[in-house]
Amino acid sequence: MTAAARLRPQALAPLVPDGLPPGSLPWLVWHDVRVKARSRQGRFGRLLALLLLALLPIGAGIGFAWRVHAAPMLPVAAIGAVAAVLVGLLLVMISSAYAHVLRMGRDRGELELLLSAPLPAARVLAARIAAVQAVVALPFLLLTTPFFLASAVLGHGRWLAGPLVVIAVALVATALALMIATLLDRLLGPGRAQTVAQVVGVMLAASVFALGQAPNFAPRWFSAQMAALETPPPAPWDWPARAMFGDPAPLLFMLALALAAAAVSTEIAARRLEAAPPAPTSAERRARAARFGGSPFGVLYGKELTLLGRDPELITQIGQQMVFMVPVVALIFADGQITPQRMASAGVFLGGALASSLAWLILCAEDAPDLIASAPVTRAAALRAKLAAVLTPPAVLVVTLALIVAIRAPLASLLMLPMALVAALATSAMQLWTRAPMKRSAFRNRYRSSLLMAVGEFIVLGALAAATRLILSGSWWALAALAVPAALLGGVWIFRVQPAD
Amino acid sequence: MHAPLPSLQIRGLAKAYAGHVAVDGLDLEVPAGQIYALLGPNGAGKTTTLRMVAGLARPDAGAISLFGVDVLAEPIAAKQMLAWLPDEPLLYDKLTPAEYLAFIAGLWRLPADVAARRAEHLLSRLGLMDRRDVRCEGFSRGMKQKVALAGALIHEPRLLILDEPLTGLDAAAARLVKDMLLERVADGGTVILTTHILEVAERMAQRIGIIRAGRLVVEGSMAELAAGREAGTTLEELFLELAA
Repeated sequence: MTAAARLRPQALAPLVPDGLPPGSLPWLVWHDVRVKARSRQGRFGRLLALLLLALLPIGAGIGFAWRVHAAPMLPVAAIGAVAAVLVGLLLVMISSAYAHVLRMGRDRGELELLLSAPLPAARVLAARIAAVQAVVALPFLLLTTPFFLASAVLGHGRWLAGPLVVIAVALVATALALMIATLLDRLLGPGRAQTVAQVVGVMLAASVFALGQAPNFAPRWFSAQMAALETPPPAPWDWPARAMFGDPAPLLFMLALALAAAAVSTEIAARRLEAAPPAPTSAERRARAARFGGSPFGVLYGKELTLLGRDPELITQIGQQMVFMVPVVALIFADGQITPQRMASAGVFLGGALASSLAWLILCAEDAPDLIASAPVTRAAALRAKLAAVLTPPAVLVVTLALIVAIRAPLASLLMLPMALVAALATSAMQLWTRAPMKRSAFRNRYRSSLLMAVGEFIVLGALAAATRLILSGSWWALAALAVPAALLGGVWIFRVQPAD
Repeated sequence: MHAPLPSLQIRGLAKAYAGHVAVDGLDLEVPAGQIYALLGPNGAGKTTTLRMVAGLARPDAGAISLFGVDVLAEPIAAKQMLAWLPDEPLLYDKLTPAEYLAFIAGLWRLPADVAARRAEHLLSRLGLMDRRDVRCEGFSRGMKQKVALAGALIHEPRLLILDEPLTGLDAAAARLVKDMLLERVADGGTVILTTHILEVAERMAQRIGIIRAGRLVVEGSMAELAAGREAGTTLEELFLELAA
């Protein structure tokens, strides 16, 4: 039997889901979701992790629903707090939606394949936008739905409106993200718009994170704000929160507003996407020429910093990964006291964390590895130059912090510098020893690709930050804190990835 | 009087990946000052062989020397004489062609004034002068290939190794690249190329080697390869007969 004969129509079945007419809007959305799912590596492990993680909101949701089961159907006292949470949710969703919208505009290759098919372009683009809306809403639905379902079972039937409001907020957030993208594109041009949006996105995420840590950083201020939230905001600002608890008129208004926003923004964005050029034009990217001169060390060092400086997306992603460190750094200032000693610890942690991101990009991700390997430069020399590039931005950050700390505590400042260097070298070594070479474009998912590595890095940085503080307080426990990263690094060295030839 | 050193000498070269033998005791000698076409079907071991010559992969066994320099013992000295141009251009999208050439020149320790002069010449020759300060990220495949070729030529390597150099080039650009390779040889350089366009090999190469399953099947000039066969035998016919 020939191969062609063996390829039965059934073999193509997974390509066409049952009941979805090929080319229809749901079929296109399904296609998009499938492609996104397949682009993730280790699907089984990820699914298992997702299921395990899902147990947490289920447990928390049921527990919280039980705790508030005696509350009235419309808990007026909670309206202010819920309204504040919804504002935070909207901001986070806008940030997430904007990242997806940017990617949608940039990754046009597959989009153009679909646009070249005999299907209405508006439908193809609407499907793409619907996939963004789904991706934005899904994590928050997974987090909150157990609570609403459990509350409904415990007597708050109207609270089943909650997931609908989450979807409505996702639709509004995606609509706002699409409108912002369109507006910035027109005002600044695609290149600058992307840079501005990414920087704003990081700042937005950082603000939300910082706000979440307010009870640690500024407990008094936080208490005052919480007290203020006990008074519900005036109408119509309380409508989203009222809709959450199933108040019919605000709920209908929220749903109508979300659908209208989604329809209008989809129409405008679809036109923009259809009209956009097939690839970012480089004509407007004329920049002041970088100079590469001197020794191969200088050339490689200059190349790395130039590439980094010219990639706003990478800088944004580094910024985002640094934002994720905010809760950890907040632990250093847990009781609200900001002392020079604690700032020194925080500087060590942040310097090491920044070096880790850069080490991944510079040491592990090289876009032209064969070029460097075929150049008359030893591997060790290339590594030294790249390591110097890795250490430069953390050095700027740590030295700046050290100058601030030095005003009040010169000794803490002096200790901070070598400890931050050790932290930076430790995280760089961990990256170098555990990563196979890869493309820079994979940077966004670097923590997702190895949870163990992320945990190990946090332990090393946490131990070095703790050691800094313990040394400054004259405690011998500092030796124990230093032993932790030493042991971990020793373990990583033993199981290190050997460079492929 | 000593015979001139061959540009490339390979003895008993072997390489296996995860149990698959890619190169199996290959012996090869490429005289200096010629264009040498290394041909073979997909998976024959051409690219693996050339990657080992360029110092990008380490052989399991065998010896490689470039102009008498042992590639394994003295990799830096060997690389100094060599340029490697794979089928996928080795570029940094965020650099401009001018910056890219300055970067390559720095790696090969070329004096700045020489680098600037050669960069201007190469960019001009390849029709890239008006794009010299534009980042490569929006370039077409053919333009990227031209920038990469300029990078390979800027340090005037004694041995230029090209893997499918004409991929993605339009007719005019392909002609230009062929002319530049011929000029490189006229200036005393040696060019080793792999190609699936057999007419290119037939018309450009002084010597042709055909490998199959990691071993050299036949080697010689076109006339030597066709000897004993009927007149007008093409390289394509020979290739299909020998490499299949």
